Amino acid sequence: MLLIACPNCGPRAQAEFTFERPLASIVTPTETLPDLIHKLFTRDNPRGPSWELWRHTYGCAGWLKVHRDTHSHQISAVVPVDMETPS
Amino acid sequence: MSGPMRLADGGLIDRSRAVSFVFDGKSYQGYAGDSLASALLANGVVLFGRSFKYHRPRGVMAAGIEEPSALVQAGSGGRYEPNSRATDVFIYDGLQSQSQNRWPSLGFDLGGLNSLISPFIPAGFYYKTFFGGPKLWLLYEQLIRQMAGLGMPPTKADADIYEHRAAFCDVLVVGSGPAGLAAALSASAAGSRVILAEQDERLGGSLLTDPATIDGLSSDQWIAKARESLIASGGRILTRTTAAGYYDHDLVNLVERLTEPGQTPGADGLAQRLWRVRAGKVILATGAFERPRLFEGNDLPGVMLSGAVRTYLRRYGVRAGSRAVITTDNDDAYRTALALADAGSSIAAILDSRPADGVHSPLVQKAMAQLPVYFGAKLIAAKGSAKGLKGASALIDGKVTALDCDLIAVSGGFSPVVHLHMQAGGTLAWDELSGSFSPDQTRQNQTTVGAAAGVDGLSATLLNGWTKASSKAKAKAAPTCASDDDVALNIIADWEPAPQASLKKAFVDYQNDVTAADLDLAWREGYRSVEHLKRYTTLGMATDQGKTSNLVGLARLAKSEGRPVPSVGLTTFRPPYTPVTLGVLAAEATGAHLDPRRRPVLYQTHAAEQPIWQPVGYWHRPRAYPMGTENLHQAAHRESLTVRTKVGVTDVSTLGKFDVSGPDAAIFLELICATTVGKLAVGRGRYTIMLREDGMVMDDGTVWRTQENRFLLTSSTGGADRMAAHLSYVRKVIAPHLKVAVANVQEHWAAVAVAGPLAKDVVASVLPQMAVPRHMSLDVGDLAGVPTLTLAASYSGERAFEIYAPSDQIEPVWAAIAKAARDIGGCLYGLEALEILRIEKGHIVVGGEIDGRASPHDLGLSKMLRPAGGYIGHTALQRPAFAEPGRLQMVGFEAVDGAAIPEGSMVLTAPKTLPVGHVTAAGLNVIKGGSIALGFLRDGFSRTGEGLIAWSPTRNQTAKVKVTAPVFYDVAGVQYRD
Amino acid sequence: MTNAAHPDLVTLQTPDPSRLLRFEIWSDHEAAQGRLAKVLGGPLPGVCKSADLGAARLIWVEQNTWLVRTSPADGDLTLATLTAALGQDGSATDMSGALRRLRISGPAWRTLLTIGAVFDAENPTFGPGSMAGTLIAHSPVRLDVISEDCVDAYTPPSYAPDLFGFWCEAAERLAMAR
Repeated sequence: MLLIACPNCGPRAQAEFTFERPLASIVTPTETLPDLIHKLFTRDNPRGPSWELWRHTYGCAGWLKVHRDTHSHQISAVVPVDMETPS
Repeated sequence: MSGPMRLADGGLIDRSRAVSFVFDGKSYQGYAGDSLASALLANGVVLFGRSFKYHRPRGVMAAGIEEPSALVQAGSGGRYEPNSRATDVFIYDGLQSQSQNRWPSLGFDLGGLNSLISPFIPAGFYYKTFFGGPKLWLLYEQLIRQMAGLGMPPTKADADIYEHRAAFCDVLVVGSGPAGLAAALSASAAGSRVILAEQDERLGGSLLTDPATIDGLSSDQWIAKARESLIASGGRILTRTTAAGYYDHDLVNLVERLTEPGQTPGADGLAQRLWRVRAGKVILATGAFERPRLFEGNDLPGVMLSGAVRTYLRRYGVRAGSRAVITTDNDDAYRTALALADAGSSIAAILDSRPADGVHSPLVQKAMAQLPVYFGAKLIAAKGSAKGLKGASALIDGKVTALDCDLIAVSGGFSPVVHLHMQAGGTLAWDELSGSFSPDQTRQNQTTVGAAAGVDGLSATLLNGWTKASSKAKAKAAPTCASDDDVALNIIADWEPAPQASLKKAFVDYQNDVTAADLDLAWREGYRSVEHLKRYTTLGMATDQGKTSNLVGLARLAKSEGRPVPSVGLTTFRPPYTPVTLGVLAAEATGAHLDPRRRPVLYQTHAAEQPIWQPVGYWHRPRAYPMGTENLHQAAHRESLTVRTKVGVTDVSTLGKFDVSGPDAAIFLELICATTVGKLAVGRGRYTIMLREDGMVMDDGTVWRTQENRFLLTSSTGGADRMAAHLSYVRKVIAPHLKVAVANVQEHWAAVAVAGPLAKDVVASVLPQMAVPRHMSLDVGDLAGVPTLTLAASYSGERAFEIYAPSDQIEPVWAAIAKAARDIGGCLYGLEALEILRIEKGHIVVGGEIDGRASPHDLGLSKMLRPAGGYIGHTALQRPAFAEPGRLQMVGFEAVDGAAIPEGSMVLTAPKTLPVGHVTAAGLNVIKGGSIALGFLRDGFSRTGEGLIAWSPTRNQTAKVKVTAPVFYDVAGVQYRD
Repeated sequence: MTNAAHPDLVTLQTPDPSRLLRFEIWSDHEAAQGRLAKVLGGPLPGVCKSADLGAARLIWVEQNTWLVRTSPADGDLTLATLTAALGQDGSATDMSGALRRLRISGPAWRTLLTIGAVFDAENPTFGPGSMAGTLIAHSPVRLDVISEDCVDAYTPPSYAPDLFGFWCEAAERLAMAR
């Protein structure tokens, strides 16, 4: 079980969180059809570090951008969804 | 008193407390502090069990958890554990234990005949039987199941209680030998929150076998002082606690045994506890396993690991034999030889495979002065039976020499215990001279110390533990030992058996009966990958997971391959480190706590009616309220008929409910809902559907405008949590700029539905001051002093109302409505009637027709969609596939020949053709009778009237059906309006 | 609901229902918080904090969102009061029926909260005025530390009977093991 450092609540067990989706798969209501199809169905599935959207469902209910290595599970950054992701 | 092999004094047992126990029906006595193995050895027992495949007699090989052979079953009934290692069970008064895999008895075992046919049970035997045709395999299978195996499974439910605890610390130390204790003391001195876990019942690790003088104290005193110091500084010490698994982000599962196998727990009833420890840093001080060596008969009772012989002698005061042969490739076994000699045993020979021309340590020189030591010597064969050893033959100075002995102490070097390090994603480094892997790279915050890190000698071990535990630790403050106690191993690994030894009786894996000959055969048959070899021969499988056998097997494979050991590779180290009782993994989550039972606020009120309950996710809701001798079907039919003809009352409190408020509330809801929301007048509501962004229907519900800037959104019970997450996602991620608040009021509001031709009368009688709202309108009222909100909406197809009240005040509201309905011939109805009624009306439901694969078009809901778009899912609805022919479209099915349509059946055009659709829900026509169903059919909208077959292969039922529109009652839609 | 009372260890209670109001601020946060502070009798608690203000117990629950616990008899602090103070910058909702409050008191409350849990309740920094949401025995729980000796746990009423029973059993085990 992962330990995710919630910016509000501090380091917490994965059981309190819900994985939502890769950050690159967020679809806005104004998305064009080809972009939508790419984001939902033909996006990359990287082996290694990538940005994901999680929710601290049972903690502060906050939405978080999590930079997680899909291979090693190492998490290098967690920021609130309304903050820019460090490049 | 406690047996002929017990020494007169010495050991860490409590000789003032005799303990009685039973093994294989016979009573024995041991002392408090004895393991089952030590107590039996003290009593002169040498035969502990029969082997897995060949039923060979087996004794005890080790003194710790790595024991492959001496497996027992302990306890009985609901307190029973098979495959316990006799070396890992501490005896208690009344312990009932039995040997395993023997029939009819351990001494006389018919399966022992397998030994005679063992040439016909080669490596990969199971796989080879597959090639003999199915009939032959059935025969083999019967035989194998009877003859092979470990302990018997329990037959009764577990009687004990288990518990999970969350624990957090700065430093977790696994293992309390000299390295672990030094590390714990060091971390504690640096101000860390420390947890120390020790699988044994005593702290000390190797110090329990090899006492030493540390910091001027006897090791017993030093251990006691360390314990006090750790506790005084707030540390947590857990004994009889095994670190079973090392998971991501430094989460370590510790299994704490509060009872021994089969033992009745204390007053709190707890048998074991699972600590889920999240550590800032994990110190692995897990020690090393001694390795066996290859010689003929190396599995016979009386052949033991050298360190184990010494442990029995020193810790338990038990002499494992009176005349011993030692075979070794290192110095450590010399300690065993000298200890045995001190205890009065004679030493027939020390067979040291290392060359004679090496530099001999003082320890070896001491042994050479008083014992027969032979360098460059190897054991060829042990001779003996179930009754014990009867000698051995050895290769000494190139000559085959017979030796008289009743004990063989074996040391094939030491393998660091790297299991947790590997579970944590570490890598290993190979040392050719000592023939061992030790931890190299780490991925998590783990540090391995002491023997587990390949550190040799007590002073180096203490220093290593002390300095690695804390960056603040100063080397000069580390504990130190007396120089006499500082013995190095000087291993020169030698995997090669004597050429005269028959490899067919030279066991590599004792637990799975895998011999060196089996490995050679598997290699010749082409099993080169270590993973293939493992599966083909079963090397390293079963309860010990190859703790003593893996490296010996790898070395054998490496030799066949002509490659160095590390290039052959390793199999994966998986949790648990030692077998874990399933009960402790489940812990509280059994019986009533299997998962949370969500009780509707009216649970007790319903319970008084003695309904049939139905789990819906975590919820428990009434399925039907049977009267008299009614069964479910009869009750549900009566209830649905009462709704159709009079009035029914049901609890709909579990529906998802959301309070959406703010100036942008309508804009927000038009993102969520695919229907028109903004144009709703205050006091009005409408049915709505919510789509996923891929265009599929996610849920349905109703949306009500209670004030200009405030809406009540309802959704399905089963989808309520998902809807809550979806609303939060859209609010916080997709549209954070909106001025809107979304509050989950699912459990704030309880709700009572009243449905039927007389529903209006019920509402009028309980809310006399309020004008009965017309269909899809709402009004507020006061019922028995409780503020209520009445929504006129129909799910059943009848005129219907939902009366909402705060859930902590719903009781009188329900009582008044139920009474008013019953007074005019109405009844309560449950989920089953609700289902029957909605099927008849063709109303879709989450988990039925809303299955994540249906678009609004497929469900026939295209006309509801907001033409302007802008809702989530709108863009994806333009995907070309949605418009292509061949889509599964929602239809109704009507049985045409009297046979009921089977639930969950597939729909075919003719027998033995591929399905063209499926049934999602089967029900009945409430008033007219007859079987009806909802379902999906390819291009179903254009197939009305077609005759098809509904077939359920799992129920073996078939019905002829006719395709209809998905509505069977009040097609014109007049019943639910005024 | 059954009750466990071991005053030297841990005591479990189900206090009478309180009035629970939730409010969320979406714009002009500083001004809105100022107006609310006047109505409530003190500044709003920060992230993952709670506080006793003059008129009520205030609990931060999520970003820009607080829970207000008052007595049902308290006529002054109502939904209308909060709504008026929020003005155009936020909105309030009555949640009185949505959460059940369970009270755990006694020196062993921290130990009790580690059973079937994933949260570090034994951490001394989790002291009075701290709020934490977590999962215990699969039930969503919001913890509000009242004092060194007492914590309130909020859970939806549907989960409350099982969770309370779970804690009572665990408390009995702690008592038996003494």
